[in-house]
Amino acid sequence: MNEAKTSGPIPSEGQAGTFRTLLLFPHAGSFTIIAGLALTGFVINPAFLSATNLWSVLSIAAMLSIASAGQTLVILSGNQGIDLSVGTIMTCAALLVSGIGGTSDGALAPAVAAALILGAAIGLLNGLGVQVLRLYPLIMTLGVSFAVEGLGLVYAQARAPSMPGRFIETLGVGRFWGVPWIVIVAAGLAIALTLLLRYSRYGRMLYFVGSNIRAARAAGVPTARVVIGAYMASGILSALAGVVLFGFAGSVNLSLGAPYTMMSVAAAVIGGASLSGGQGSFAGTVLGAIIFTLLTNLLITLGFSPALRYIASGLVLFAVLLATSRETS
Amino acid sequence: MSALPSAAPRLRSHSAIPALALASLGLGLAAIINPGLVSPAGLIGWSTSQLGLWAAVLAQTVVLVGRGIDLSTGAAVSLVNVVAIALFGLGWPLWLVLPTALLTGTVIGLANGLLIAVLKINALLATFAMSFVLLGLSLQIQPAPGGMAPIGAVTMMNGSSLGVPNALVALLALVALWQVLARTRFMLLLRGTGSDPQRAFNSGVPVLRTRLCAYILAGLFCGLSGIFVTLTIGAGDPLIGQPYTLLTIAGAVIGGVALMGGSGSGIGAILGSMFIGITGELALGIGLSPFYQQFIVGTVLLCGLAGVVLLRRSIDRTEDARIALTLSTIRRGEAA
Repeated sequence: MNEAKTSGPIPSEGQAGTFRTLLLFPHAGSFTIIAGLALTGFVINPAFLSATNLWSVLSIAAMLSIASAGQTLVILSGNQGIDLSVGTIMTCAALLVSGIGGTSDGALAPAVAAALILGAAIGLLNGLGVQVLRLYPLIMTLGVSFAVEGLGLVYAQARAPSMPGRFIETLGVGRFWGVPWIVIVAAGLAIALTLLLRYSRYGRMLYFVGSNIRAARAAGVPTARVVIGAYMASGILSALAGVVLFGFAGSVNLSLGAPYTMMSVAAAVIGGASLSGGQGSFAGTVLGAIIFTLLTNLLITLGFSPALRYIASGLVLFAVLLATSRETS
Repeated sequence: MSALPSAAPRLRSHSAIPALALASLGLGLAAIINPGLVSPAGLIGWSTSQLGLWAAVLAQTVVLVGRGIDLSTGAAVSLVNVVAIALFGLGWPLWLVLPTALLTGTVIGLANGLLIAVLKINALLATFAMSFVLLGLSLQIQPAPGGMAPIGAVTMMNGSSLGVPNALVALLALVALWQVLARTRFMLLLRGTGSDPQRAFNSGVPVLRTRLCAYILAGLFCGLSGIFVTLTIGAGDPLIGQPYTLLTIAGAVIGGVALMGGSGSGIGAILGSMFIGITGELALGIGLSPFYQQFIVGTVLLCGLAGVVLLRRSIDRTEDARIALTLSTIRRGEAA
């Protein structure tokens, strides 16, 4: 995100200079890929760029962005940080809201509060395991997600699945002046998180801890609190994503959030976050989510079966990884 | 210096010991709560349901020892399963299907190895992307569960010889295979690569080739696992292996395989996954509703993971302290 500032004087002469200036524009690569995908879709079927399809792509990408917010923070925190409990927290939050709130809006506030508290508690557990017990994030969050998934099953057994209430339904599929609410929520979240990461003390400490935890500790940054905070924020944001997903999907089941665990990692990595930490931004993740969604949508336009779509997403992920995250050692 | 810590503490600090204790405790409890489990039929049922996982956990172990990770294990097992069933459907005989299935697994491993060792993509992400490709291929070959394996082979796999379930015989063969493997030069190189790739490279270990071979070997074990799953279940299912990815990682870690590479044994990993399998049986055995089963298993798994890692660390610490103490005693002796 800081390429433009850190890579020195910009050559100003001639064609090549202009081109290089363009490349220094933040996320130039992502925007190029998005434009390329959109153009390909348009050539194949002009309806690809119709308002209906674009809003649908943006809504799905917005859902994925919201789900990837917490993941981005955890990946930024470094030390091989990864949160594999995102999907299960989303499912549990949706189950909880469905169970407490039901189809009415009356109990909405306590229901959402309960979901967020659950997310925070699970995130805290992850953070404590990673920071205090020093378990590898992959293992800790994986183990926690096993247990939480079971918790969801226990909670769900006695309840018939309900439809979301008016408010949550509007949040998920409603529109405001033609713009889907979910896109507005994602945009708001993007602005808030970008401000937090760039300008707040916490955001700067997170980047510092992620890029060099020893230096950060030596400089007096409370590293433990920063890392645990990232995992807690991830839990809360994932719970929030679960609430939105409940409205977006219109119903809840036990595997509702599961695909989002790995899709959130993919979105963050495509968006330029480095798994070794300290590198990346939420804006990048949002672009990553748009790329992932556009690609899936393009493959559907091409008439690919779900099976072929999986294969194609995997191959594209390889291409992105080859271009972005090759290890130097 | 290597002779300084006496044999007893070294045995106590063997990485597979916690898993052995957990697995035997679990098995013992399960046998007491549900004596049906140790009846011939119960043993056959349990061992056939776990055999695929036991083979798959060896795949994960090989990769982990080399400081890698494989998130495509489950998808690879599923793919081998549907490929085998599809070939049976085409009328291929058993002796031709089994090598082809093994070859399928090996090719998957080779692909992973090329991506990770040669193209140097992060192992976690490369195998994650690979799992998409494999899942898509499986769904393309067989969109829904179905198909049939030759009935003779299936009854043999689900049968027993001389009172011992054939699945347990297969497990013994797996253990023997691992023991042979553990004594090879390759395993030595792999441990070196896993514990410190840079130092291994500096001392002349062909790091690239070793890592590539580790993934190929893992693919072979996935192929074996796929064959076992096919022959114990007798049908194809494009999603059958899905839980294996996470279960093999958890099982290997509980079994004492270090996530940071360099150490761990296949026997420990198998014991670790046995413990996971037996926890489920236990939860069912004490009459818990199946709804609670996963929560209990998940919690126990989490405690197991945390416990094993913490225990390992404290053992390492006391071991280091003991060595330091002995060394300082010797030095003092020399000085005197």
